[in-house]
Amino acid sequence: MLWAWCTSLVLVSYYIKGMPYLSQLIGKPIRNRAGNSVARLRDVVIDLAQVEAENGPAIKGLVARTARRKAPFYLPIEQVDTLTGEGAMLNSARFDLEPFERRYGEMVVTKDLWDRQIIDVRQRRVLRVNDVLIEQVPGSMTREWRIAGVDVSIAGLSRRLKLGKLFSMIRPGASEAPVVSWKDLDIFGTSMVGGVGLKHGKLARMHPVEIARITDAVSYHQGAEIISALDDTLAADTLEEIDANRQIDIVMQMPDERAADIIEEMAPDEATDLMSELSDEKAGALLEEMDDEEAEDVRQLLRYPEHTAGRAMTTDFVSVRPSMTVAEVIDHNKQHFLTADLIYYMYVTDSEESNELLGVITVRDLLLNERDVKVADFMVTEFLSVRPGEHEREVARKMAEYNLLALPVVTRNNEMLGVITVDDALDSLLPEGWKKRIPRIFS
Amino acid sequence: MEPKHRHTPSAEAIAEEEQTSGAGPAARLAGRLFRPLRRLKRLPFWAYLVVLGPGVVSAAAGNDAGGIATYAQSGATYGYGMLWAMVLVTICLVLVQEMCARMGAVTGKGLSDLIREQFGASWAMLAVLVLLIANAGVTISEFVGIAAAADLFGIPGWLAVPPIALLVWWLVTSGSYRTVEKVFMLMSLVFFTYIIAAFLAKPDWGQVGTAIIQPKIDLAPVALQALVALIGTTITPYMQLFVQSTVVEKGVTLSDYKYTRFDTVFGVIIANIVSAFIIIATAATLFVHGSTNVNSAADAAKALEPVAGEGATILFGLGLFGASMLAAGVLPLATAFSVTEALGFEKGVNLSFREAPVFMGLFTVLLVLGALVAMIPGLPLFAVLIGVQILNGALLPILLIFIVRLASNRDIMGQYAIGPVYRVLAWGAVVLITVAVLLMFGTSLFH
Repeated sequence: MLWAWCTSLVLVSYYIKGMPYLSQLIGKPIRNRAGNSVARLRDVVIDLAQVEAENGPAIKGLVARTARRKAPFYLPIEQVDTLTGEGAMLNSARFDLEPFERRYGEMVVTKDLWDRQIIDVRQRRVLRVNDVLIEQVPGSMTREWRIAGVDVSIAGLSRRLKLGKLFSMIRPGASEAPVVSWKDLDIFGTSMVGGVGLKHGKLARMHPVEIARITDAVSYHQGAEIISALDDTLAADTLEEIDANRQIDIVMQMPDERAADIIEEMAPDEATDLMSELSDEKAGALLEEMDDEEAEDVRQLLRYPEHTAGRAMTTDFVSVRPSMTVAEVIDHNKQHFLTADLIYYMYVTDSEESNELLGVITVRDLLLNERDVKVADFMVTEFLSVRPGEHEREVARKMAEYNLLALPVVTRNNEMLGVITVDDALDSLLPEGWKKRIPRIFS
Repeated sequence: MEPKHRHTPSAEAIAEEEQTSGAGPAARLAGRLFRPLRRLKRLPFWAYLVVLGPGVVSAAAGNDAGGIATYAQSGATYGYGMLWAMVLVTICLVLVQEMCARMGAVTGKGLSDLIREQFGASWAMLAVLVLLIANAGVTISEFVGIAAAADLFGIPGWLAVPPIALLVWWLVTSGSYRTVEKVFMLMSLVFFTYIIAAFLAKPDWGQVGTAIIQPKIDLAPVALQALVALIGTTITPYMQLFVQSTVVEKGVTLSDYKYTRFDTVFGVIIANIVSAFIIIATAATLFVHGSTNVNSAADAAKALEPVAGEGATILFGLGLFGASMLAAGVLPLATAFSVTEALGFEKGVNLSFREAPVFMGLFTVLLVLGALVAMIPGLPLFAVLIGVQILNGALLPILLIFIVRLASNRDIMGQYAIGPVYRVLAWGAVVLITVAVLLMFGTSLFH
């Protein structure tokens, strides 16, 4: 794995001498124009508004401490002429001693970024910041510096612990540490003063399952921060992939209105699972906030006991009439093809109202038949179905035995209630242990 | 004509289904009973009793080879003299574990993560080092316990330990450890018999009572060492990390926290009551009759004679074996996880040596170390067991300082940071323990 890190995005320009890591800067002298050391560099301040900057946020100022005074003071970056591994040089002989205070909207790097977790959007994992790389913004007129990336390697850690030399003896070559570039990383706002809300725009680059794995690796506050920052659809898709217990923790951290917006976008059966885990008052409050139609779906599904077909089924399926032609089915169902969970099987019902299940057709049928053939001519009338009270494991067994992707759930009178799909059935079959990630139980 | 997007089953259809499938309120209640902790909010008070189960069992399992040795020796050598310390240490342990569980529920992060984030990489590495040393010691003591148990059954240590070490390695890496865990846990329940033994030995309860209330401060180096060992085995560094991580792993948040707190506190109290009874039992059987030295498992087993007669050694042996095996599987793994997490390496038992070299390497090295030390011929087994606990005790203040500072930190704990009274008690506990440790070092070095 260390190899993979080493061959990942390596930005060659960072190995030019003089591009300092923050650990090399801290404690170094700050000199005035005359060359006298006036203070020691203690920290670097960033404006959080810059966090989404493509190449990294610009450094806004330095925090310094003099030998005589205890309280740290702040130096705006405009007063700095050079910033290297040797320290900083000011551009005047005199400077202002502004006492330093942590303010909302600012990030103080050793406190808020060092040792914190970040999301590497490229590698799709959560990593811990060992060190921070600073670079000068290229351009002849500028005296600007910015954070280029973070060092998450063991080399970075040993540099922090001042064991850099020792480390490069043991593992020569590995001290050319791979840096996670700022454009690939996402930071958490919960650790900042006042708990800043960050946009997390980069997270949309990842697949919901990957985002879900990341929320598993962090605390529930951070998980809630991630989910809240995503748009409703992505948040819903991600939430569906998260462990049930975690889902609840996250939903409880959000205001009801937002939680309802997200739950609306979830598949009804997933939404129902989540609701059933919440307390009655909370579930009730969320159902109130949700759109009536979605809330009604959930309420209906909630009436079925857990681990039954009724609870695991989804009401999102495509239904067609026996009198429709292949052409009509394909042309008039585009909306459903877009949103339904399952489109491979389509269910033939006799009318809008009665919902009686007459037959099943597949996408294969549609593709193989001529456009003017009526559904009734090729639909399968002898098909397997299940009752909502059946245990989900029994349903799964049937699906496996008959090689089906889904089974329709019907009433005693053969009315369609919903469809239970193979992924839900699979979930019910897996032993609990398989679904669990590596326990963080020992960290 | 557009078919409907969603198909909501008619209310009648559903009502009909409900009746025919018999899924009614009873089934729903039954379903609720076996749900995880959070759902207990909806059930009445007797729910607390359901929670007790896991706490009590893990309390019993908390007594490992080092613990048994320390308590048995305490009772045999000092009679009831250390019982007052047991009470104080129990209070300290309750405070410490509550703080750790609280931090886990409030922040959702483990202890070493918190140390890293609040105190920086250097301090975090110190904490990791402390843990590594302490846990290496405990791993050694588990294998020593296995050797001692084997001894009781007539099998020499050097013969029994290697296959057992291999077995543990295989069990853990193949993931089958969890199934056998339950067997070991059952075996270690044997130590509850010390409670029976204590009663059967008919101690002078008046003496026991006074001993609990009246501190008897013995400044002899040996006594101080025994005290620090007592502290170290009751408040193990590893346990605090484990409590916090378990809370985080279970996803306990603030709303469920009061159940967890109850379980934690109750578990601690039960465990320490068992420990106290071990002291009382050995005091009443061995100390009273003048055999004040417990140097081997056979000696400690004698205290169980009132309960099991001739079978005392077998009973004790089983318990010792079970308790040691339980910990031997968990400790090296836990340590490997902690260290690799802190350093940022890959981890996971199902990974090969190539994929997770540091993790697998560390885990294996710890097992090998434990096994090798336990196999040293002529090793004074009990002395090593107690020595490791002294080490635990000595390292404890470092970790405790981290814990109390973190738990008082308003930035991370918000309104749940420990209050002023709690803080005084917590720091008091830290001071007491540190003083004990320093006194021990002081008197032992200048003796």
